[in-house]
Amino acid sequence: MWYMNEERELLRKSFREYTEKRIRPLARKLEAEEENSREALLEMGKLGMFTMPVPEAAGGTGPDYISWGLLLEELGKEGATFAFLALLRQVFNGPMQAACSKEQIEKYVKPAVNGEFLIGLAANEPAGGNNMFEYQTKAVRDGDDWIINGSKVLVTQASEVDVFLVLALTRDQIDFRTMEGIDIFFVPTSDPGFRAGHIEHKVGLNGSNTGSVYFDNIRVPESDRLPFPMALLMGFGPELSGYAAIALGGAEAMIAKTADYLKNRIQMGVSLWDAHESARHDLAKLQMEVYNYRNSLYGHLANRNCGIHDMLEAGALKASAGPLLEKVAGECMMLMGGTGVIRETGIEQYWRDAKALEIACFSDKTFTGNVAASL
Amino acid sequence: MAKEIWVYAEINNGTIAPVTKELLAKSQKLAAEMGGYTVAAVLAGKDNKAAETQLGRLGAEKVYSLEHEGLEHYRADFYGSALAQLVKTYEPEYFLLGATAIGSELAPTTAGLLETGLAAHCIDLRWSGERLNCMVPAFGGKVVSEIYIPNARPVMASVRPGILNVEEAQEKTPEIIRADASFLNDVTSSEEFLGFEENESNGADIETAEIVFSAGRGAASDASWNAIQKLAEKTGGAIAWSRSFIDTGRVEDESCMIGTSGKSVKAKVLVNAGISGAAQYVCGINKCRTIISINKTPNAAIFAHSDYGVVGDADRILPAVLAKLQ
Amino acid sequence: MKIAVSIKSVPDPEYYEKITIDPVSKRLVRDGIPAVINEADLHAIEEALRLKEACGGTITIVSMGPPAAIKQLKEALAMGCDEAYLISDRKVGGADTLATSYTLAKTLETIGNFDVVFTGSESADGATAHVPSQLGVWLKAAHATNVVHVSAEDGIVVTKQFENGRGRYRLSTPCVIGVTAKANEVRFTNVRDIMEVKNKKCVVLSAADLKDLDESRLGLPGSPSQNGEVEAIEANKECIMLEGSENEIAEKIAEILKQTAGKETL
Repeated sequence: MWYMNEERELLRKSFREYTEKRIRPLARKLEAEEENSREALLEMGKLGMFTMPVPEAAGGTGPDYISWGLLLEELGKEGATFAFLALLRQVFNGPMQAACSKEQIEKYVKPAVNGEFLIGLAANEPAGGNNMFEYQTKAVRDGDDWIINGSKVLVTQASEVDVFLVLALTRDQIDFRTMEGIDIFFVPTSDPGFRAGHIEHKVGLNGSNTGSVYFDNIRVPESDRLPFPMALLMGFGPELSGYAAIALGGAEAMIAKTADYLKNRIQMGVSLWDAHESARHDLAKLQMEVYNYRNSLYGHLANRNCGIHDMLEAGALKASAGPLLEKVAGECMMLMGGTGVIRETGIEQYWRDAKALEIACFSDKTFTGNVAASL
Repeated sequence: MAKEIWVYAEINNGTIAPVTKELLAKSQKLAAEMGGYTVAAVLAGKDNKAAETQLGRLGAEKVYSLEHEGLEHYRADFYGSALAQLVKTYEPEYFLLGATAIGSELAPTTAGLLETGLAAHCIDLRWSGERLNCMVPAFGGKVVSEIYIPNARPVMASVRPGILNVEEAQEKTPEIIRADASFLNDVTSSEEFLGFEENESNGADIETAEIVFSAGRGAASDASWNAIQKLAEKTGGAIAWSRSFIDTGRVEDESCMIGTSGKSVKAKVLVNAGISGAAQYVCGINKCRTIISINKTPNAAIFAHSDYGVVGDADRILPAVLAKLQ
Repeated sequence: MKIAVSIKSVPDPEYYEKITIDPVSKRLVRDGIPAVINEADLHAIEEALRLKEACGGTITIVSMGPPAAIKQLKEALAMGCDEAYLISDRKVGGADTLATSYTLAKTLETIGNFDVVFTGSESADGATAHVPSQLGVWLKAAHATNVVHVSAEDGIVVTKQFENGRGRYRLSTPCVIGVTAKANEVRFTNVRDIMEVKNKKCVVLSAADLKDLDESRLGLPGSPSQNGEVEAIEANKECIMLEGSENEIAEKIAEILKQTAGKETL
């Protein structure tokens, strides 16, 4: 591959070994909600696997977005859920660099990048993901501190992170021009005023611990308020190309598994692979999509390495990730016949995870609107 | 150069190791083929008297007995120096050792000190008419090479225990040669023996075990299950199972399950008992070298993935196999 | 402490099915089969990393192999080792274990004085398990193989695995220790260590670089053992159905268990 070199070969090899040994058995347990992702995520962090897209100034070894893509691709081969949770680290680590103060970078970003604790995002409320102006979670000034009250819904890893970035309104009326009144605070979940509540059972991305969280009179110092909250909210976008890396890995794994199945399934002395050209061609068409997708993704990541962080292109990659997984999973399940619909085979989960991926971080429908606005 | 085939007699807790017996019998046979060679056993220890007499019964015509306090506990360099000096003194042409834990270290140590050739872990020794060909497996047994030593002497080989097919040796009354061990007073060792702890037998891990017994739905009865437990104990093998076996309720542990959502095994021998051979299972077994499958159904899918098949009831076959090993 | 690890680049055992023998040259055809660090050597590297963490020092990798084996040296550096040397020369090729150990010993002596040399107890391909002992003999060092535990608290104390139990020995330094896969669990590589690889010394040596060399001891000329015919065992599964009485069938199965396992206890 044009984007590989000796160092990335070594990195990819180490990602592959880690995911095969550690994440493969975990993936099943996550799906069954028998185990959570925390231990593995922290272990990955300590092995430096979140440092590649982060510059040294913020505790990283990068930025090299291509090696970050390679990690997500390898994780994607074992399942979308854990890969998604790994991606989230960078979704926060990336924009925090512009949104945080120097002290906050030392106190929160650097340790998070290196796997000392997990940071999450509590933003969404019943009022709607895109409807911040009507949010009820408020932060009220009290001397040098803020007191936060409120609740959030559909929070990923609701009961599993150490610190939440909490979106709270600090004014009764938001200034639509400047967005003043929308603020973000670092809130430790160890605070007695924090509570995680009901965890949702979803169609996919099971084990991501999606749930509600509650803040009851939590006191937060002014130093833990982000100086540039809009930089965080606007900064998520470029990181979302990571979804495409996950989908790429998942698609590759499914195609390989299906080809292997067809080649080894012998009926009356002939393999299904040899007997049916239609099956071979169906799989070939999916493979062609994978080739294009791979170059598109890594081309985009190469641009990021040159300092070009195109949010709309990143979003386009994100928006196509779920549909790609859904399509490949659907075709592969069909090609594998009865075995394809059995959970143990490992294909159908991608089909379900795809639906959840389509609305995670932002809905593909919302994004379409953004692109239309740019034309 | 003495026309002798030496066999290192390994003694553990006063008992002569079975591989020594195999090697003496094999050496007798080779000596006859090669013409004019004497089979000699080599003993190195603190007190060899008990073993000396037994070795004749196992076919040794000579016994070289080296006794010294320093030989009380096995130490690779000391034993190696002892054997190397013995070889230099008596100059045997062939020197065979069992590829046991001790032999696998002692043989190369001795060969290194003698700067001679050593064929390792041989599964057979064949006299070609002109030279001794040592059959040595490589690449996990995928390949077997002939190794021979054209010039250096002695020709040394370590031989895998339990693999030679030999009949019982003819008993002999050996000549006992009490080798002069005084040279060992000047040999220093860089190893200090600190102690030995006997094993408790522990269950083998299915992914690394050389022998695996795998239970399927058709082996869920008491008869089969008990036989499997005992077979595993007897052979030092591991026990694994299929998902169907877990479904019978006899076990719960998925860590011993073979299959797509379970483990892969790469045993040298895998015995499938009452396993149907569903695709999700067989994908975990294709690295095994020899697969023996027992199933009641004549065209069970598992047979297409096996080297040996038995159409039969595991409840009867497994206990019968166990009886043969006892 | 100056620590060395001797490693071997071997064909990946996952691909053994693909190995064939050239009918004309009788040599093994390994084309297209990727190479990996021999598994037991990975455990040797892990043991070296632990010793370095306990006692401080440096870890030097040495290996004898073709130029392509440099890839495996980089993999070893990526695990956290400090420098690597590959001895690669036509003259050292075709070596049996005696000549191989001699070459490795001369390489180690040329590079420096090592306190502890770790290596895997056996390699996945040849599986002779000779190198640890013969390396020790050539280096005139203490040596132990089949080691399942190493401690440096009170001198170098190794635990060796025997059939019926475990023995403990204190080795003087310098010493060569052959480590088995049971000795430890190999750590995952760290991204930072991988990125350091480009800054680490990775050198290819030829026979001319080795000090005090007796060339007659190298390679094929220095190998008392020679290869004759090589036979590939085919791995296709043509199932032989065992017939006969239950007794006969049980006998055949028991025979296979005894033979293939080669266990003394049966």
